[in-house]
Amino acid sequence: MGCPVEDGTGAELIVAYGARKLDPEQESELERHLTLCPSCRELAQAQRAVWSALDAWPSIAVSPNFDQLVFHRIANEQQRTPFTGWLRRWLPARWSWRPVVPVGAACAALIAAFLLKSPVLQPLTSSENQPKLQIEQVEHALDDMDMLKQLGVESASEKAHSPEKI
Amino acid sequence: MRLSWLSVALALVLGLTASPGAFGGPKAPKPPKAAKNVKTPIDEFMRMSPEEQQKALNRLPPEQRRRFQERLQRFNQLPAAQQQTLRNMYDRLNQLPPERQQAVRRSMNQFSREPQDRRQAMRQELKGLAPLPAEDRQARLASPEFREKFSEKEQGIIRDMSDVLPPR
Repeated sequence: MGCPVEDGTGAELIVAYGARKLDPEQESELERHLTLCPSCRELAQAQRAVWSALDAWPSIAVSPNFDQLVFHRIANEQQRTPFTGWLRRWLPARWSWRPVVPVGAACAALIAAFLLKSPVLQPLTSSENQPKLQIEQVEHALDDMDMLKQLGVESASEKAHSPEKI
Repeated sequence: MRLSWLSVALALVLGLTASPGAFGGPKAPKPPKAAKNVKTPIDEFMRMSPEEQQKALNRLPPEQRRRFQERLQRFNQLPAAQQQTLRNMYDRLNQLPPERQQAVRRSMNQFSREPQDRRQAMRQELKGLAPLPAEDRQARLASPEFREKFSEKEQGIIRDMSDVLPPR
């Protein structure tokens, strides 16, 4: 027998040997090779160790209705997520999330355009935003009124007497 | 399928942004404003509570405060029609660009330094201009009669001061 590692059949053969699935003739032939080939022997020992460990694993007792309980629990989990459960009930069976991306992008563009152009974002011009009236402003207004009054553009009732200054 | 959803989304965006008046697009013309009730800083001061008025007045030195109160009292004693005429002219003045406002104020100062008879002549001219529409005012200010009647300096004063005459 040639070296199974070298001819490419090593993995399959040694795994089957570890699992004790080789027929007696193959097994005895491989064991003869193992006495001569240290690398194959090492692989075979590792495989045997794995199988020995698996054999030593204590099996856990499973209830007879294990499958039924699992499926029931899955169904309960699906009902407990309200949003996705609601969506699953109302969306068509063939619903796809794929169109949500372009529609979402369009909505985002609309919202951005609305926010940019919205008068809400424009600077407030209400009187609350203006600085409080300064006494100097009133004085300047009185100055202007003094000057304007001298133009003499008066209503009929003023014509009787028209002083030059306020 | 994906293409059709993309088309719907694009149509939605383009349709809404291109619709007239949407998001800053061309808007329908606004109706003309009603004649506004002109409010000057004097009116704002008069609307303040006595405590606020006193607080503002306390910022002035005593002599300046006294003069201010006298001038304010004289303005308040003017007939309502004259007050309104002055408010309208004040509003016109303050709507002018700052450099025009300065020019008008300079001319009004010059006016006050002119001899009494020349002031009277210019005042009569302004009274004659006041009821005219803008085109007629311009025609009058460009007329030979106007040019003969007033010196160049006086013509400039009248032109500047005519800017604050209420529009007809």
